[in-house]
Amino acid sequence: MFSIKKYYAIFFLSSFVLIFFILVFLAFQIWAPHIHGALDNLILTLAFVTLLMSWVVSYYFFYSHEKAEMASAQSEATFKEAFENAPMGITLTALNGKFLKVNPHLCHTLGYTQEELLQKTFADVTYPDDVAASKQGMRDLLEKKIILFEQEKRYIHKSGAVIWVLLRASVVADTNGKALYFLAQIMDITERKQTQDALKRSEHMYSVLVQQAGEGIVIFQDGKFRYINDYFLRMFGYERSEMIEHSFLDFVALEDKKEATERYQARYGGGTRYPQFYEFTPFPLLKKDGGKLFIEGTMSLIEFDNKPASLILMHDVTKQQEVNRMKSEFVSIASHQMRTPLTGIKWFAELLLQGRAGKLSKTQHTYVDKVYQSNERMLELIDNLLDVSHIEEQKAYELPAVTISLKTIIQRAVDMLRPVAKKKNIKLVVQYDGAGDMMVCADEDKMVNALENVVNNAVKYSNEGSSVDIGCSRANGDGVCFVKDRGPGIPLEQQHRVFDKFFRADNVLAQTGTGLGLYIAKSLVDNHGGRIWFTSKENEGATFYVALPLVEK
Amino acid sequence: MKKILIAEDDNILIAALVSALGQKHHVIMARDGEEALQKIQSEKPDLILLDLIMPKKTGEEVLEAVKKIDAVKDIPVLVLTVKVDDKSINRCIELGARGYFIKSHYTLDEISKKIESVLVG
Repeated sequence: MFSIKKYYAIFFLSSFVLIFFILVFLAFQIWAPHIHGALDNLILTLAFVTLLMSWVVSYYFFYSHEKAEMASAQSEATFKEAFENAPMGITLTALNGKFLKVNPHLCHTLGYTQEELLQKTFADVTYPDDVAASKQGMRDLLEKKIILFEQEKRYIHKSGAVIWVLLRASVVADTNGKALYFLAQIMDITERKQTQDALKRSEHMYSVLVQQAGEGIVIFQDGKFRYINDYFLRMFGYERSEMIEHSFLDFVALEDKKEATERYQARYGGGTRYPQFYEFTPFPLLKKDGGKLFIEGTMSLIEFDNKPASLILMHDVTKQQEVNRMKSEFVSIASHQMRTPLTGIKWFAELLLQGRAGKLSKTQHTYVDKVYQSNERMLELIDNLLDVSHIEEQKAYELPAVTISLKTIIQRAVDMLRPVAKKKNIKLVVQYDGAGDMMVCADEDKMVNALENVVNNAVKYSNEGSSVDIGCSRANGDGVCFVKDRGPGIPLEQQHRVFDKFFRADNVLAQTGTGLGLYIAKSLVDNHGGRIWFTSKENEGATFYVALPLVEK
Repeated sequence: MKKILIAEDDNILIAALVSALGQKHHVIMARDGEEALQKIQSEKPDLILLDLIMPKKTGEEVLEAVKKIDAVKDIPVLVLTVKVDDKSINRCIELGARGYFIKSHYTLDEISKKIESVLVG
């Protein structure tokens, strides 16, 4: 587009040319009238053609200028409208940082009126820490190192609140390339920033939690480690790359491989036995330095990469294992050591009671009998403590599971107690209805021991001459054994403590007992994945139930 | 009257067992595993009451050795011990013990009866 100046130049030039031809024509009229005629016509013709041309050219330039002006006015209006209504802040800023123009959106963003803002420089409303970076950006723009400056920066709202914006600025220059001012777009990203920060914080917290939790966390899929947290790596001393995508069997010592495979098969064999959540008992894994760590924890079924996987949380129980072992050893040795002298007391008290050292007076007999009974109690306590210690140790390993019938278990338990029952003249009424067909998966001796403890209790607390019913039935896939006595029952307010270690009900304290029998029974039944419970009313006896999952033949 | 060898290292228990069995039977005593093994061969008792935890040789070792000596391998052995673990019980039964009794679980009377029943049978 021609500028208005060029148009004037052409107009004046064409006018001068016309005046020049008129002057030439007049000069010929005055000083050379003899060449009048043909030349006259030529000059006149030239003059008129020039005039015509200058008019055409002038008209053309006038017209186009008008058009340009109209277009310019229109575009200015459009720009003004855009500027006023833009959904983002727009500003023209002088090279010294003073605001030249600010749009309403920016005013709204910063909380100032237009007049107030136009009194300020950008630095006045910028968060102090961000001023330097903004100034550097302006310098880079002016030195043409960049053509667009972008910055996530903070402004201070009139209220004092800090706002995050995304600023994009460029330089507006004149036709000679001389910088006039900065044009900047400012987008309020406070909300986005807050969301981002919150996300970042939560991600950081999550990662700290998972990585630093005092618990090994791994994701296990298709027999391989898929994710391992830092704590787990620290526990075992491996690099992540040494474990990830490796089978856990690579970290099991040769001597433990058989058990590991068996336990793994028991849990995952057949594919249908995926448990949703399960607590696993201590198991040894190899550390990088060759030592072993016993780990214990929980395993839950999750989805990972759209496939089933196990999320495993585990902690180091090596020390507890060692302490447990020492405790068991201590209990075992102590009980063996105590058993010998207590047997001495038992046998000599027996000899005295039999009159082997001369006939005892009635009082002497009573006293020696008390010695004998106390000693029996002590021996029972030792037996039970040893059982408890074994059971607590046993938890560490899976029980050897064999399929046996409930009948066998009941029969053995009852046979063990017949002599005791006979002594008290208590009838053991056993019904084996269908028990021979009810098969359960159990360690036979342990299950017999459990039931024996229940029957023993029933016999112990039954009145002389009464009877105890023992039998079993089927219910919801379980085989349920019951033991019903007609003893004093269990006081309602103490029923919740019946399976506690060393608990003894108030109404039977006169009877000897250790308070461990039912605790042992419950521990054993629990270890077998079974349940034990009872119903009882004081003075109306008690019925204990032991339920074990049946194995279909 | 039969000859019974009691292999036991605890004096008090020996005294009690002698009191209970001595009137009916001829009782010989051994205080450790080696002495027991030696007396079993020299005395050829009718029955051996064997403790497991003893000096010099354990009861299991004595039992194992006895079963390898033709002259004495048929003498019935009753183990009388404080060891209650299944492993120990199974081992002794495997080695050929006729009975396994945990000392503190039996009265002298009950032990005497067991002995009589073995001696008769």
